[in-house]
Amino acid sequence: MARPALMATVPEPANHLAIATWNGRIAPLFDVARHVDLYRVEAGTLCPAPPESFAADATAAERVQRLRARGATTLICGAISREAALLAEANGLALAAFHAGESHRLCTAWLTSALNDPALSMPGCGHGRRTRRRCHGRRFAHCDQQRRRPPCQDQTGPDPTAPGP
Amino acid sequence: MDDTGHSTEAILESISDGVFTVDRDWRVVSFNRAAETITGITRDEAIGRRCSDVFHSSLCEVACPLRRTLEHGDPLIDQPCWFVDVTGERIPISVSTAVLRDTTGATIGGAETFRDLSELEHLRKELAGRGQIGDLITCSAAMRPVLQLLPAVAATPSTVLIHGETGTGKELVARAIHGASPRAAGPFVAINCGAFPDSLLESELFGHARGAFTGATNDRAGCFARADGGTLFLDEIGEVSPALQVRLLRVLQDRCVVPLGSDRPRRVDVRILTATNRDLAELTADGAFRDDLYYRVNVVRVDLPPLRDRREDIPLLAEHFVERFNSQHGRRVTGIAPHALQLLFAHTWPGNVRELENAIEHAFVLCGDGPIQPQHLPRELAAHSAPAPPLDDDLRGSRGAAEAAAIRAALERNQGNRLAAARELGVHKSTLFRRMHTLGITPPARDGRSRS
Repeated sequence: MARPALMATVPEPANHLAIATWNGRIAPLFDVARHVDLYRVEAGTLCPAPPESFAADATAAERVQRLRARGATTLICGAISREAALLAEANGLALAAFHAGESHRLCTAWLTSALNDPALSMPGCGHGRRTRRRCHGRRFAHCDQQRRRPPCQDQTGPDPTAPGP
Repeated sequence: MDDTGHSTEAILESISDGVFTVDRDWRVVSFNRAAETITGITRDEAIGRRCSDVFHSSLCEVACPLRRTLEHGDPLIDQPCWFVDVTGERIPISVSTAVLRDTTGATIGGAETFRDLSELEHLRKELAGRGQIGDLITCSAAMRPVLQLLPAVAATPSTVLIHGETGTGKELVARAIHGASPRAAGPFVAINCGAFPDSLLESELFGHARGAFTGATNDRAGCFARADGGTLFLDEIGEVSPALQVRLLRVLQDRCVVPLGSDRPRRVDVRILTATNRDLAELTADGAFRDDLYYRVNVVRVDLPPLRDRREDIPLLAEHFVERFNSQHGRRVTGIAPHALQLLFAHTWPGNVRELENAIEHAFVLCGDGPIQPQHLPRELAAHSAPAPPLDDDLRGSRGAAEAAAIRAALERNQGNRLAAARELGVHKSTLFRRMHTLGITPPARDGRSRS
């Protein structure tokens, strides 16, 4: 089943991994993050690409559009508002959200499909009874993993935990 | 712990403001009960983690109040900001900070208190504009996801599928998206795909050249060409025939239209919004709708709830229609009598907002300049009405009934989970309990939290 080509005006030069960072760690909140590291995914390795900077008041639409224009297909980030998450997924950006920790550890974990590690998740999502109740829907792919459901079963995007080609 | 320590802890546990403290490495040391409630994160999960991983606020990265306080030693009071909870909801808060010192006066960390302003914000919005975007009028929690989504949807060029029962206001949503989009200055062209036979629809959409068929005496631009630089709204997209679906798909992919009888393709810059009251996924599974077209139009989906799921909007909408018909017909109908409003609440509204509009228009024909009475409303409203809670013969009673309906609906949607229902309604849970008690709503036998 073909995934819909989204935002036809936006070129997709290459398969890139985007990580919203702050002081070497995952930025706490994507909606106001000012710095996104980009990596070109080549043969199972990550090659650093020029990063993307945002004004703190950049809208979610601007953020998503610019990342897509840079060829980002997966975004790893910390907290993200529902609105921004919907926008990212609707525009073909696979989302691994509510992660925490040093960005290089997240890169390694993504390459080795180990993003499920609770030490790399923000507290409050994915561990206990309360969390399962709160993290509902397919909007947050990381929650799908925690619920032992294969992410993106509906083909709306690639598995955000799987490394790129 | 000494008595002073115990009483401090008891105080912190009893207040409604969230409080947490951090050490000098920004690790959370304490996290009170209100902080658990507001953030949705348990104390056990929070303690020992970096504060920015627990309390991801809009100020963390650029203007952390706690950092400023620890650097300058000055407390900060009531800094407005917002944070995102684990469900992705933006919670408006005000934050205050202070330095923590030990008995010798040395700085050992900082304390941050935060107050949930959701209820205030909700009231402010209600007073300011009742959550109105474009011509959409609502105060319903069920419509809140739609209202939250629209600005983001409007900002993108993505194709949108608006799904909802007939009469729910799909075209209003489409117009609201267009009006808030960068294309707002361009044309908005709407076409009901179910209203035309296939051959005519093709001509309407793509236009035709002179001589293309009998009676085509002039070139005529189609909807795509007329919407160039703006937005094209394709209503009832599920009614398009398979043959036309192929042509439509091609245009959506290439952004080029070829009028009937012409061999000159024309490039168009059009944003596509679509709507249907049918289940396109099911139609696709049945082979009645092309799956490639389905994925092309279902990029962003907006689901409109039926009026029966947002009954709290009925007084607001009825009032709006009364004002509009007063203005259109030069009348002075003063409103809706409580017993008539009771009938409006009790009806199941299969025709949704459009049916409500027609009912008010019907009443305008029959009533004078006073309020609309039950006998002015269409007969089927009384005949097909479900039992409704009794209403007092005054405005307060009407409002109470609306409030009770909203609370019951929210509780039902959240399987009896009162905290989730309170969040959905945008009120604090204690406010919800108080209103339930006042309105005589029996709490559900089983709170949704206890479900496995």
